[in-house]
Amino acid sequence: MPQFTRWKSLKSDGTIADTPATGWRYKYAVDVEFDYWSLTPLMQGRWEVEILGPAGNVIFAQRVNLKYTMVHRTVGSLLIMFVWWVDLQNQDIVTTVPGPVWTLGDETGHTEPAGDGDVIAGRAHDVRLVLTSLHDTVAGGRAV
Amino acid sequence: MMFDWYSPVYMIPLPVDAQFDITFHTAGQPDLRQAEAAVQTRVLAGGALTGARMTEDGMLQLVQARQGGGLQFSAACDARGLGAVSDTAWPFSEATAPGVPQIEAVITTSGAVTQGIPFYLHSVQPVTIAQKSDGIVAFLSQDDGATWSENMVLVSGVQLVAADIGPDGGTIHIVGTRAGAALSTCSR
Repeated sequence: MPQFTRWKSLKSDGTIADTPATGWRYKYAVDVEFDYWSLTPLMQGRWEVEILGPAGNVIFAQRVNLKYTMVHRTVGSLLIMFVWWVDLQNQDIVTTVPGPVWTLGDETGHTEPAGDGDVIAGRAHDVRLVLTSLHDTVAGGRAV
Repeated sequence: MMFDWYSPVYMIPLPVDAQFDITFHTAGQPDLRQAEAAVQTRVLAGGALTGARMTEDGMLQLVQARQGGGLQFSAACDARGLGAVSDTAWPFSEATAPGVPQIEAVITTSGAVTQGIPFYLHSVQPVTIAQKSDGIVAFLSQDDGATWSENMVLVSGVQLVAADIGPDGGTIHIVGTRAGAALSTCSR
């Protein structure tokens, strides 16, 4: 029975480890950084990827749109509390190559909070108090 | 905000040295010079190598993805010969190999061909059923596998799972998936 290999990083030129393969998946580490002035309740991120064969032919092409919801509150001008989550119900995955595309189950992704001691409350992540000034930057949800 | 997004599992064969390329992103790790550093993969390696022992002549045939793309074919009367890396040595050993493959050939160099299954047609003619992009094709050999013909398209829009020759020696039975999880069988 075929089993998945361990997660492995791409090589510096983008080569995928452990090929040839009959199936695969990837994970994408998202680090959304923003400053105080760009906080909005709804934000979104997008990426487009391709997998190329040795001859340069496109084996796989996909674009993904994710929406994040952000709720934040300030107390005075120094204290910020915020909570965010990824709106997985409305993720948009469009695979253009191959057509049709074969998946094991539905073509839906899921997310997990990265390390760094995120607090998980239901589907919301990263609830914390961050002491900062209005002119400082909130970077990656970590206190600065 | 930091999180990992896990993609669905794609049952799309990947050839050796397939490359992942991020062509556009507004999310990821913008401070990293190479956006690819944000990506990790895991794969299903099973099925990349297929083989069959032919009762007609007792040879063991193997079809596997070749370095640089496409498929390669090898066949040996002594299965131990398939493990030899040259005429004189075993892998990781100085001992002399007991034999070498009688036949080694390139079926195709096309990077779009990623998975092949060998057998004999009418007990005589080597044939390899292979996945090519979103279709299943057949490669034929007129000379015991030393050279291979251009492929013929057997069916489109099907992901190859298995194939074999029928008891009449001329009907090819293919098991595959079409448009997701649905399983289909067809024959030619």
